[in-house]
Amino acid sequence: MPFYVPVGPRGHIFRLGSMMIGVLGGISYWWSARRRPVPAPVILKLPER
Amino acid sequence: MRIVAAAIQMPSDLLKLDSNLERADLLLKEAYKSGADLAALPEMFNTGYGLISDYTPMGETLDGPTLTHIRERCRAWKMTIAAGFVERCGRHLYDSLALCTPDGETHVYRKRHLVFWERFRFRPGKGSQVAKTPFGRVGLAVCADMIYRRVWNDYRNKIDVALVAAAWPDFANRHTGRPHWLMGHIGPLSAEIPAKVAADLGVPVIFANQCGSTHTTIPLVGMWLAERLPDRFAGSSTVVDGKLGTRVTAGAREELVLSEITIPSSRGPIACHSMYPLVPAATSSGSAA
Repeated sequence: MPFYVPVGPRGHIFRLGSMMIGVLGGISYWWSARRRPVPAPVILKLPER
Repeated sequence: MRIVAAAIQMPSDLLKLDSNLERADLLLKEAYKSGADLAALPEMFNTGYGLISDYTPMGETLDGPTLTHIRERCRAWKMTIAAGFVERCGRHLYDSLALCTPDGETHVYRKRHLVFWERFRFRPGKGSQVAKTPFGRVGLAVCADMIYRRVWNDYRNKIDVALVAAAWPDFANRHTGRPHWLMGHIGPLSAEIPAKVAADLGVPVIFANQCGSTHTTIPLVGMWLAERLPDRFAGSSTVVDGKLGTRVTAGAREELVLSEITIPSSRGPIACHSMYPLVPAATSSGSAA
Protein backbone atom coordinates (compact mmCIF):
# COMPACT_ATOMS: atom_id res chain seq x y z
CA MET A 1 0.00 0.00 0.00
CA PRO A 2 1.51 3.37 -0.96
CA PHE A 3 -0.25 5.32 1.79
CA TYR A 4 1.28 6.02 5.18
CA VAL A 5 -2.14 6.05 6.83
CA PRO A 6 -5.18 3.95 5.97
CA VAL A 7 -7.44 5.81 3.55
CA GLY A 8 -10.06 3.10 3.13
CA PRO A 9 -11.59 1.66 -0.03
CA ARG A 10 -11.85 5.14 -1.48
CA GLY A 11 -8.07 5.11 -1.60
CA HIS A 12 -8.34 3.06 -4.79
CA ILE A 13 -10.43 5.78 -6.43
CA PHE A 14 -7.95 8.35 -5.16
CA ARG A 15 -5.07 6.39 -6.68
CA LEU A 16 -6.85 5.94 -9.98
CA GLY A 17 -7.78 9.62 -10.08
CA SER A 18 -4.21 10.62 -9.20
CA MET A 19 -2.91 8.45 -12.05
CA MET A 20 -5.29 10.04 -14.55
CA ILE A 21 -4.41 13.51 -13.29
CA GLY A 22 -0.73 12.59 -13.47
CA VAL A 23 -0.99 11.67 -17.14
CA LEU A 24 -3.31 14.44 -18.32
CA GLY A 25 -1.77 17.06 -16.03
CA GLY A 26 1.68 16.03 -17.19
CA ILE A 27 0.73 16.52 -20.84
CA SER A 28 -0.89 19.86 -20.06
CA TYR A 29 2.13 20.98 -18.02
CA TRP A 30 4.58 19.86 -20.70
CA TRP A 31 2.65 21.85 -23.33
CA SER A 32 2.71 24.99 -21.16
CA ALA A 33 6.38 24.59 -20.24
CA ARG A 34 7.35 24.29 -23.91
CA ARG A 35 5.86 27.69 -24.61
CA ARG A 36 7.30 29.31 -21.49
CA PRO A 37 10.27 31.52 -22.32
CA VAL A 38 13.57 30.65 -20.70
CA PRO A 39 14.71 33.60 -18.55
CA ALA A 40 17.69 35.46 -19.92
CA PRO A 41 20.92 34.47 -18.19
CA VAL A 42 22.39 36.94 -15.74
CA ILE A 43 25.50 38.52 -17.21
CA LEU A 44 28.17 39.48 -14.72
CA LYS A 45 30.55 42.25 -15.65
CA LEU A 46 33.91 41.54 -14.12
CA PRO A 47 36.38 44.40 -13.60
CA GLU A 48 39.21 44.47 -16.09
CA ARG A 49 42.65 43.71 -14.77
CA MET B 1 19.52 19.09 22.70
CA ARG B 2 16.39 21.19 22.99
CA ILE B 3 15.33 24.02 20.72
CA VAL B 4 12.20 26.12 20.30
CA ALA B 5 10.25 25.38 17.12
CA ALA B 6 7.49 27.48 15.60
CA ALA B 7 4.81 26.44 13.13
CA ILE B 8 3.26 29.52 11.58
CA GLN B 9 -0.36 29.08 10.57
CA MET B 10 -1.61 31.89 8.38
CA PRO B 11 -4.02 32.61 5.55
CA SER B 12 -2.53 33.79 2.26
CA ASP B 13 -4.41 35.86 -0.28
CA LEU B 14 -4.01 34.58 -3.80
CA LEU B 15 -1.40 36.55 -5.78
CA LYS B 16 -0.96 39.26 -3.11
CA LEU B 17 2.73 38.82 -2.50
CA ASP B 18 3.33 42.04 -0.55
CA SER B 19 0.54 41.61 1.98
CA ASN B 20 1.31 37.92 2.45
CA LEU B 21 4.98 38.65 3.11
CA GLU B 22 4.00 41.38 5.54
CA ARG B 23 1.65 39.05 7.43
CA ALA B 24 4.29 36.33 7.57
CA ASP B 25 6.88 38.83 8.75
CA LEU B 26 4.75 39.86 11.73
CA LEU B 27 4.31 36.23 12.77
CA LEU B 28 8.00 35.50 12.23
CA LYS B 29 8.85 38.47 14.43
CA GLU B 30 6.54 37.12 17.12
CA ALA B 31 8.29 33.75 16.85
CA TYR B 32 11.69 35.45 17.10
CA LYS B 33 10.63 37.39 20.20
CA SER B 34 9.43 34.13 21.74
CA GLY B 35 12.86 32.62 21.27
CA ALA B 36 12.21 30.36 18.27
CA ASP B 37 15.27 28.74 16.72
CA LEU B 38 13.40 27.11 13.86
CA ALA B 39 10.25 28.44 12.19
CA ALA B 40 8.14 27.01 9.39
CA LEU B 41 5.81 28.89 7.06
CA PRO B 42 3.10 27.11 5.01
CA GLU B 43 3.26 25.89 1.43
CA MET B 44 3.12 28.77 -1.07
CA PHE B 45 2.66 31.23 1.79
CA ASN B 46 3.74 34.15 -0.39
CA THR B 47 1.62 33.59 -3.52
CA GLY B 48 -1.37 31.94 -1.93
CA TYR B 49 -2.53 28.49 -2.96
CA GLY B 50 -5.18 27.93 -5.63
CA LEU B 51 -5.77 27.16 -9.26
CA ILE B 52 -4.82 30.13 -11.42
CA SER B 53 -4.17 30.14 -15.14
CA ASP B 54 -0.42 30.57 -14.86
CA TYR B 55 2.05 30.72 -11.96
CA THR B 56 4.93 31.83 -14.22
CA PRO B 57 4.95 35.48 -13.07
CA MET B 58 5.06 34.29 -9.46
CA GLY B 59 7.94 31.87 -9.99
CA GLU B 60 11.16 32.85 -8.22
CA THR B 61 14.72 31.66 -8.25
CA LEU B 62 16.76 31.41 -5.06
CA ASP B 63 17.68 35.06 -5.54
CA GLY B 64 14.05 36.15 -5.80
CA PRO B 65 12.41 38.66 -3.44
CA THR B 66 10.84 36.08 -1.11
CA LEU B 67 13.93 34.06 -0.29
CA THR B 68 16.13 37.17 -0.19
CA HIS B 69 13.79 38.57 2.45
CA ILE B 70 13.69 35.30 4.39
CA ARG B 71 17.50 35.03 4.33
CA GLU B 72 17.79 38.57 5.68
CA ARG B 73 15.51 37.62 8.56
CA CYS B 74 17.52 34.45 9.22
CA ARG B 75 20.75 36.42 9.45
CA ALA B 76 19.32 39.24 11.57
CA TRP B 77 17.40 37.03 13.98
CA LYS B 78 19.74 34.00 13.99
CA MET B 79 16.82 31.75 13.10
CA THR B 80 16.42 28.90 10.66
CA ILE B 81 13.31 29.50 8.55
CA ALA B 82 11.48 27.23 6.14
CA ALA B 83 9.08 28.71 3.61
CA GLY B 84 7.03 27.34 0.72
CA PHE B 85 7.28 29.18 -2.59
CA VAL B 86 6.88 28.74 -6.34
CA GLU B 87 10.32 27.98 -7.71
CA ARG B 88 11.27 28.76 -11.27
CA CYS B 89 14.16 26.92 -12.85
CA GLY B 90 14.54 27.58 -16.57
CA ARG B 91 11.24 26.69 -18.24
CA HIS B 92 10.01 24.76 -15.24
CA LEU B 93 7.96 25.63 -12.17
CA TYR B 94 8.08 23.69 -8.90
CA ASP B 95 6.01 23.72 -5.72
CA SER B 96 9.06 24.08 -3.46
CA LEU B 97 10.06 24.44 0.16
CA ALA B 98 13.22 26.36 1.04
CA LEU B 99 15.06 26.04 4.33
CA CYS B 100 17.32 29.02 5.03
CA THR B 101 19.88 29.02 7.83
CA PRO B 102 21.42 31.97 9.69
CA ASP B 103 24.79 31.39 8.00
CA GLY B 104 23.26 31.94 4.56
CA GLU B 105 22.70 28.39 3.34
CA THR B 106 19.53 27.63 1.39
CA HIS B 107 18.26 24.09 0.88
CA VAL B 108 15.39 23.51 -1.50
CA TYR B 109 12.98 20.60 -1.63
CA ARG B 110 10.64 20.20 -4.59
CA LYS B 111 7.26 18.60 -3.88
CA ARG B 112 7.23 15.07 -5.22
CA HIS B 113 3.56 14.16 -5.02
CA LEU B 114 1.51 16.74 -6.87
CA VAL B 115 -2.23 16.30 -6.43
CA PHE B 116 -5.36 17.62 -8.12
CA TRP B 117 -4.70 20.73 -10.21
CA GLU B 118 -1.06 21.03 -9.06
CA ARG B 119 0.16 18.58 -11.70
CA PHE B 120 -1.29 20.88 -14.37
CA ARG B 121 0.86 23.79 -13.16
CA PHE B 122 4.02 22.30 -11.63
CA ARG B 123 6.69 19.74 -12.34
CA PRO B 124 7.17 17.10 -9.62
CA GLY B 125 10.43 16.93 -7.70
CA LYS B 126 12.59 13.86 -7.99
CA GLY B 127 13.85 13.09 -4.52
CA SER B 128 13.89 13.72 -0.82
CA GLN B 129 15.97 16.47 0.77
CA VAL B 130 17.88 16.33 4.03
CA ALA B 131 19.15 19.75 5.07
CA LYS B 132 22.08 19.87 7.46
CA THR B 133 21.60 22.60 10.05
CA PRO B 134 23.44 23.55 13.26
CA PHE B 135 20.96 21.53 15.31
CA GLY B 136 20.68 18.47 13.10
CA ARG B 137 19.44 17.00 9.86
CA VAL B 138 16.04 18.29 8.75
CA GLY B 139 13.90 16.21 6.41
CA LEU B 140 11.62 18.30 4.23
CA ALA B 141 8.20 17.50 2.76
CA VAL B 142 5.30 19.45 1.29
CA CYS B 143 1.62 18.80 2.01
CA ALA B 144 0.37 15.68 0.17
CA ASP B 145 3.87 14.18 0.33
CA MET B 146 3.18 13.23 3.90
CA ILE B 147 0.39 10.83 2.99
CA TYR B 148 2.79 8.60 1.05
CA ARG B 149 4.69 5.86 2.81
CA ARG B 150 7.81 6.11 0.66
CA VAL B 151 8.46 9.70 1.78
CA TRP B 152 8.86 8.65 5.42
CA ASN B 153 10.67 5.43 4.54
CA ASP B 154 13.23 7.55 2.68
CA TYR B 155 13.79 9.65 5.81
CA ARG B 156 13.83 6.82 8.34
CA ASN B 157 17.06 6.93 10.45
CA LYS B 158 18.40 9.76 8.29
CA ILE B 159 16.87 12.83 9.92
CA ASP B 160 16.70 14.50 13.34
CA VAL B 161 13.69 16.72 12.60
CA ALA B 162 10.87 16.45 10.05
CA LEU B 163 9.39 19.63 8.65
CA VAL B 164 6.25 19.80 6.53
CA ALA B 165 4.80 22.91 4.89
CA ALA B 166 1.23 22.53 3.71
CA ALA B 167 -1.88 24.03 2.21
CA TRP B 168 -4.00 21.08 3.31
CA PRO B 169 -7.73 21.58 2.78
CA ASP B 170 -10.53 20.37 5.02
CA PHE B 171 -12.32 18.80 2.01
CA ALA B 172 -15.66 19.91 3.42
CA ASN B 173 -18.09 22.58 2.30
CA ARG B 174 -17.22 25.57 4.48
CA HIS B 175 -20.83 26.77 4.50
CA THR B 176 -22.56 23.51 5.36
CA GLY B 177 -19.70 21.53 6.92
CA ARG B 178 -20.58 18.57 4.70
CA PRO B 179 -17.50 16.50 3.83
CA HIS B 180 -16.66 15.84 0.19
CA TRP B 181 -17.91 12.40 -0.94
CA LEU B 182 -14.46 11.15 -1.87
CA MET B 183 -11.94 13.27 0.01
CA GLY B 184 -13.90 14.13 3.16
CA HIS B 185 -11.92 11.75 5.36
CA ILE B 186 -8.57 13.13 4.12
CA GLY B 187 -8.96 16.57 5.76
CA PRO B 188 -8.69 15.41 9.41
CA LEU B 189 -5.55 13.41 8.58
CA SER B 190 -3.59 16.67 8.60
CA ALA B 191 -3.71 16.58 12.39
CA GLU B 192 -3.01 12.86 12.71
CA ILE B 193 -0.10 12.26 10.33
CA PRO B 194 2.49 14.51 12.08
CA ALA B 195 1.90 12.70 15.39
CA LYS B 196 2.19 9.34 13.68
CA VAL B 197 5.44 10.32 11.96
CA ALA B 198 6.89 11.59 15.26
CA ALA B 199 6.09 8.32 17.00
CA ASP B 200 7.20 6.17 14.08
CA LEU B 201 10.48 7.91 13.24
CA GLY B 202 11.20 9.07 16.79
CA VAL B 203 11.89 12.65 15.71
CA PRO B 204 10.14 15.97 16.28
CA VAL B 205 7.73 17.02 13.53
CA ILE B 206 6.86 20.59 12.61
CA PHE B 207 3.78 20.94 10.44
CA ALA B 208 2.80 24.42 9.21
CA ASN B 209 -0.50 24.66 7.39
CA GLN B 210 -2.47 27.47 5.82
CA CYS B 211 -5.83 28.54 7.21
CA GLY B 212 -8.76 30.47 5.78
CA SER B 213 -10.96 29.99 2.75
CA THR B 214 -10.06 28.15 -0.42
CA HIS B 215 -11.69 26.43 -3.37
CA THR B 216 -10.66 22.83 -3.79
CA THR B 217 -10.55 21.93 -7.45
CA ILE B 218 -10.47 18.25 -8.24
CA PRO B 219 -10.05 17.71 -11.98
CA LEU B 220 -11.51 14.57 -13.56
CA VAL B 221 -12.53 12.61 -10.45
CA GLY B 222 -14.58 15.36 -8.86
CA MET B 223 -15.69 16.87 -12.13
CA TRP B 224 -19.33 15.93 -11.77
CA LEU B 225 -19.78 16.49 -8.06
CA ALA B 226 -17.29 19.02 -6.82
CA GLU B 227 -15.26 20.65 -9.51
CA ARG B 228 -14.91 23.72 -7.33
CA LEU B 229 -15.73 22.97 -3.71
CA PRO B 230 -16.10 26.03 -1.42
CA ASP B 231 -13.63 24.71 1.10
CA ARG B 232 -11.27 25.98 3.79
CA PHE B 233 -7.79 24.98 4.83
CA ALA B 234 -7.66 22.50 7.69
CA GLY B 235 -5.32 24.53 9.92
CA SER B 236 -4.22 22.21 12.76
CA SER B 237 -0.58 23.24 12.45
CA THR B 238 1.37 21.13 14.88
CA VAL B 239 4.67 20.81 16.69
CA VAL B 240 5.22 17.30 18.05
CA ASP B 241 8.11 16.13 20.17
CA GLY B 242 8.89 12.60 19.06
CA LYS B 243 10.81 11.76 22.22
CA LEU B 244 8.54 13.17 24.92
CA GLY B 245 5.34 12.72 22.92
CA THR B 246 4.16 16.26 23.62
CA ARG B 247 2.08 17.89 20.95
CA VAL B 248 0.87 21.45 20.42
CA THR B 249 -1.79 21.93 17.76
CA ALA B 250 -3.43 25.05 16.37
CA GLY B 251 -7.11 25.57 15.69
CA ALA B 252 -8.49 26.74 12.37
CA ARG B 253 -7.46 30.41 12.56
CA GLU B 254 -4.22 32.37 12.19
CA GLU B 255 -1.94 31.21 14.97
CA LEU B 256 1.65 30.78 16.00
CA VAL B 257 2.36 27.33 17.42
CA LEU B 258 5.42 27.36 19.66
CA SER B 259 6.93 24.43 21.48
CA GLU B 260 10.23 23.11 22.72
CA ILE B 261 11.39 20.02 20.90
CA THR B 262 14.05 17.45 21.70
CA ILE B 263 16.58 16.82 18.96
CA PRO B 264 17.73 13.22 19.32
CA SER B 265 21.43 12.52 19.05
CA SER B 266 22.24 11.43 15.50
CA ARG B 267 21.73 7.76 14.87
CA GLY B 268 23.10 5.66 12.05
CA PRO B 269 25.01 6.89 9.03
CA ILE B 270 24.49 10.48 7.96
CA ALA B 271 22.95 10.06 4.54
CA CYS B 272 22.00 13.01 2.43
CA HIS B 273 19.48 12.36 -0.34
CA SER B 274 19.98 15.80 -1.77
CA MET B 275 18.61 16.67 -5.14
CA TYR B 276 21.51 19.01 -5.62
CA PRO B 277 25.09 19.22 -4.48
CA LEU B 278 26.04 21.97 -2.06
CA VAL B 279 27.30 24.54 -4.51
CA PRO B 280 27.09 28.34 -4.62
CA ALA B 281 23.67 29.82 -5.37
CA ALA B 282 24.85 31.36 -8.62
CA THR B 283 25.30 27.93 -10.18
CA SER B 284 22.50 25.94 -8.60
CA SER B 285 18.75 26.14 -8.24
CA GLY B 286 18.88 23.89 -5.23
CA SER B 287 20.97 23.83 -2.10
CA ALA B 288 23.35 26.72 -1.90
CA ALA B 289 26.09 27.67 0.49
